[in-house]
Amino acid sequence: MARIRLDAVQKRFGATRVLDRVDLDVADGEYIVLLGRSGCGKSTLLRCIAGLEEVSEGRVHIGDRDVTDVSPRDRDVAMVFQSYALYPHMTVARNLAFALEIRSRPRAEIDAAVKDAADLLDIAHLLDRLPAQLSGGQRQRVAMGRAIVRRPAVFLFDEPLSNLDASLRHHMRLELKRLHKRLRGTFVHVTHDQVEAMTLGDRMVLLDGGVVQQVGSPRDVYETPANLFVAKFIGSPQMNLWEAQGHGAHTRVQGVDVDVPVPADGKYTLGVRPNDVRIEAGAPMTAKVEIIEALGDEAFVHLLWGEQRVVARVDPRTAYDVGEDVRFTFGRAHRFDTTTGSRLP
Amino acid sequence: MRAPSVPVQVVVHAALIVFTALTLYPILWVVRMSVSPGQGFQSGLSPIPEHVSGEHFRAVMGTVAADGSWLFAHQLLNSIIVSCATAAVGVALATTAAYALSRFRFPGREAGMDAFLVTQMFPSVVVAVPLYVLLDTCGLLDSTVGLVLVYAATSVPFSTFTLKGFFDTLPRELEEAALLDGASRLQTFVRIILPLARPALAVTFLFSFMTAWNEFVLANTLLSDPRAWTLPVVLQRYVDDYGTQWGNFAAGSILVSIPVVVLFFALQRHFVEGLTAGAVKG
Ligand SMILES: Nc1ncnc2c1ncn2[C@@H]1O[C@H](COP(=O)(O)OP(=O)(O)O)[C@@H](O)[C@H]1O
Ligand SMILES: [Mg+2]
Repeated sequence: MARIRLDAVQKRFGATRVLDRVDLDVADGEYIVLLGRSGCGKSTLLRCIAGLEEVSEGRVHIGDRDVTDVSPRDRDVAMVFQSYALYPHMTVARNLAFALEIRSRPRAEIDAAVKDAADLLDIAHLLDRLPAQLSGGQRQRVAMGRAIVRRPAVFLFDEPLSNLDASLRHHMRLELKRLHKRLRGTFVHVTHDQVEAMTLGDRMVLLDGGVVQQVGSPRDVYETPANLFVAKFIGSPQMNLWEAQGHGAHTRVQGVDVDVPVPADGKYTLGVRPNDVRIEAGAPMTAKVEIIEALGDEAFVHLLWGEQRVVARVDPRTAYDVGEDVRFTFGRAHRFDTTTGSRLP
Repeated sequence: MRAPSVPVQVVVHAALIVFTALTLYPILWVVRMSVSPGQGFQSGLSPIPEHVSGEHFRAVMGTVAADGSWLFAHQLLNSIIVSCATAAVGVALATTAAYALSRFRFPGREAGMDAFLVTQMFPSVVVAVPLYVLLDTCGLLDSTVGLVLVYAATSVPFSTFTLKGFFDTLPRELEEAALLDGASRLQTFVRIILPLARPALAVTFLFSFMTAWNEFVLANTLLSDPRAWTLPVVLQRYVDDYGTQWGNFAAGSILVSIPVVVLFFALQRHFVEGLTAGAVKG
């Protein structure tokens, strides 16, 4: 049906290279999230799939077809734009019906499809309104309705939730998940929000500077970041990172002996997630509590460890005093090549 | 929004009334001249006529050609046809040209826009003689077609610039959305772009119409047969070296203004809509 395959896709605007040899294989019916900072090329990649941008090099396949030279209108994809791009002079009903009217479907079929989409998204009561008469959240729903009404094989979402307030965003995340279950289409969702990526994606693709950094399930990416960029980008608060020096069983971080689960020789960057910093009596390392951040259901303590800082996730019910000395150890640790940033075994 | 306080409202309204009076006074004065008997220049400050007579309107509208046909009707029709045709040709060509200039990059685009600008730089007296020679060669002197061609040649560049400015403000994503919805370029243009451009089209149409309607220098040069004249030429005949027929001139001026006012009211709805449509975020 609608597997998407990108082969060594490159995109240049003049001399600027925005996408650099992107290979990607999205399974039929998969929900994939493209994640990266603003300006890393996410929208461009999405637009290359849609055909709104021509690729400079490489091939784009949708389903069994090579669509590299196929017009966007014949690719059987629908897109929700970040600005929603609703037709301002048409009512919601006509916005939804437009794609089917253009394809000259019979009136009865159009009406039924519009009604289905409107019911599914809970916008049936808005059908006679103009986009200007809708709230941001309602416009967002109409934009999604316009995408689903003709049941395309591929759905493309460009930061669909970024213009919504926090509670609505949470609600729409669930809604998107539900929609994906119902429609069984291939979803490609672009976001800069790691929470969206972690919660929505079957798999996620991390992009930086137009280069794919890692592709994998949210769990994989979180558990085994492929490089320093991914390690820093995923997880909040950020993973603790230090320059480390290993000699056989001994590992030192700026002159302090540390206890790592799997020691290794040579210089490298040591990474430990706040989750994996365990504060317990009798542990081998000592640090001083600098700041306590309590967030209700979780808490983080920031420790001063010689010249280094350590962030640890702790039980919010345990009380710590600022200035107090605590003993800690590491659970899981990651090692990265300091110069290339890539993950070491 | 809170309503302004009473003193502010009084001041604002007083100022508006003063400006309205200043604007209306000369017009009322022309009205007085047009309905007062006699061709003399009416002095005195009051815009209220002392005697009312329709003689000037009858004189202006009642002109008859040598063959006995109704001359004024010919001339009014000339003006209407020339102005409507100029506006229609101008808007039709300018809309498509402006869209292309706004959306596509092609060789000659920059040069074409520069050339459009250059054509706007010459006052009509400069081009009157060359145009006369050109139209004479083509056998288009004293013809509606000739005049429309001349007017459209000046209104197209101006309209194109105005409309290009408008198209530049329309978000491209609307067209991309339509494209993904399966619309062709032409369908997108007709079903998305044109409806959104309606206010801009109305303004451009009115502007082209008024330019042609009021144009005198070229019409006076290119039209010699009274049956081919447009109304500005007709009006000018009431002002000559041997004495101005002020009454007829005033009556003629009022007759000439009426169609423009009517057109303005007919299109006004679109202008007002245009002001609010701008507030809609794509
Ligand atoms: N039409 C264009 N012309 C030139 N540069 C562009 C164009 N579109 C995007 N870019 C550049 O490409 C880079 C990636 O843009 P984009 O894909 O929109 O990033 P993202 O969606 O990840 O924020 C940016 O540096 C942007 O300036
Ligand atoms: Mg973007």
